Amino acid sequence: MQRTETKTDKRPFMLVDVSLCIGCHACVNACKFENELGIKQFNTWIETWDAGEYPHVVRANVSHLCNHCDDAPCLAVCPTGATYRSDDGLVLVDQQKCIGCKYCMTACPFSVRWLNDLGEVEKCTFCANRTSQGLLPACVGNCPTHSRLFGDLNDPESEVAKKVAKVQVESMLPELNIATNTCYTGLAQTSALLKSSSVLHAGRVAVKLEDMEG
Amino acid sequence: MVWDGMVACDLFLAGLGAGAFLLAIVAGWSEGGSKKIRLIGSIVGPVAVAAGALVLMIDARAGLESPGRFFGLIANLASPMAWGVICLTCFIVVSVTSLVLQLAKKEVPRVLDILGIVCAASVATYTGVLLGYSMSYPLWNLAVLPFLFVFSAALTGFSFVSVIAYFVARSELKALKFLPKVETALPLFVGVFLILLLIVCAMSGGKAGQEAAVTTIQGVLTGSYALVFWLGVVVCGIVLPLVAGIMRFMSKSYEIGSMSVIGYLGALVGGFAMRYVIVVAAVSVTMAPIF
Repeated sequence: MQRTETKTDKRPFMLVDVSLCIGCHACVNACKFENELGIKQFNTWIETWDAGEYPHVVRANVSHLCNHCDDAPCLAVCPTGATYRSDDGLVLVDQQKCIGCKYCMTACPFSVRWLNDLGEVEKCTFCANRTSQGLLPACVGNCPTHSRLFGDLNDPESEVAKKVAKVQVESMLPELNIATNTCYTGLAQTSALLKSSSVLHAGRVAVKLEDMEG
Repeated sequence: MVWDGMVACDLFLAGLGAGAFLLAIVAGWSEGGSKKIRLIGSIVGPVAVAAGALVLMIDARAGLESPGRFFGLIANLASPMAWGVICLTCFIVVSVTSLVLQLAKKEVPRVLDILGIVCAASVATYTGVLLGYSMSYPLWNLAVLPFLFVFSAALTGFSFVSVIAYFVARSELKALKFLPKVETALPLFVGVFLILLLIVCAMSGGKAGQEAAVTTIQGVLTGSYALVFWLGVVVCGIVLPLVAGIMRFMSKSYEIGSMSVIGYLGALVGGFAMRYVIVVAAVSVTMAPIF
């Protein structure tokens, strides 16, 4: 799997195994505690729906978070340079430079960016404060099923690199071809199943079933 | 929906200002110089564009509360918003210089006029490029939107100047022989590019893109934005100015009547409605509402 080289030669990478996610929201809550997020603020969330047709119905749980894309649309459009790439290759926001124009929010195809109470943009940092010290991101450390794996993709001995070598790895919107550093396995298979319920977005209806049926 | 009516307002005002200044320049080249129309357009141009920029600054709340951050606006020259800031600044400098020369009763050099046309075209184009650069919204197509917004900018700008001129400089307005043709052609162009925009949106690739495109178009044509779209964008913004333009074009000696005024006002309402619908009704490929 080819990713752009970073200044530190590390490639922080997350792999989400959709089939292992039970939708317990431990990741979402761990993230909230770690990043001190308010009730309507999410750096990560789970989208949940029922997939398939009776009697072959499964509960789909798909984690959403910043994809830290190599070819990041948000980074390209930020006029002030508040959105920047760290030496590790992470896409981060310097809130001190953010004017709150929301251009990055319109550019992000994954809708992971949000405005804080000061009108500045925030989003997932892969817990840069923790991962720079060799710890796991809060969501990964608290995932009971190891649905989320995190590590250095450039280190063949890392847990995530080993799994990436074994399974079929997908991007959330592969047609955009923007080299995401949050990837999935089992996503296309789940998405291909007929949606038989509305999609819940962190516990509330985000897309109604009748809207999807057109 | 990330952006709302505030951004639609900015896009509308920037387009209107660019169109108004364009008419001022072209009118100035006509026989007799159309001094009043030229002055009206030269005032409306910078005022509208500056007002649009101000709306954008008010919408950018973090910047408004720490205004020093606005100085970083051209830090990333790869961003269309930075290009926009440069376009707006050049436009305001050129149009204000032209205005000052006119007020001082001095000749406006031809080179400044040509620069003005370039700046006006850049401002109008940038409003389309700004949205077109986002790959999240199938409706915001980079190939069509700039053309649509340029024609709409000309239509709204010309209409705004014309409706003022109708009351304060009617003879000058009547003397501009190219206007009836332009007044007929512009709504047609807007209509054609609007249809084209919906078609390319409907043809969006990828499963997510297709879903978002279908939801967008349904929302615009038959859903919650249908009233604004059909009544505002189509009837006010295209049909009224087109009918008014044709009536004027067909009349003897290009009469300007009350229908022309209705056409001008319709174009203004429609121009705003169009930007509002395009900004607000666009559905993202993630189809996720923002919390």
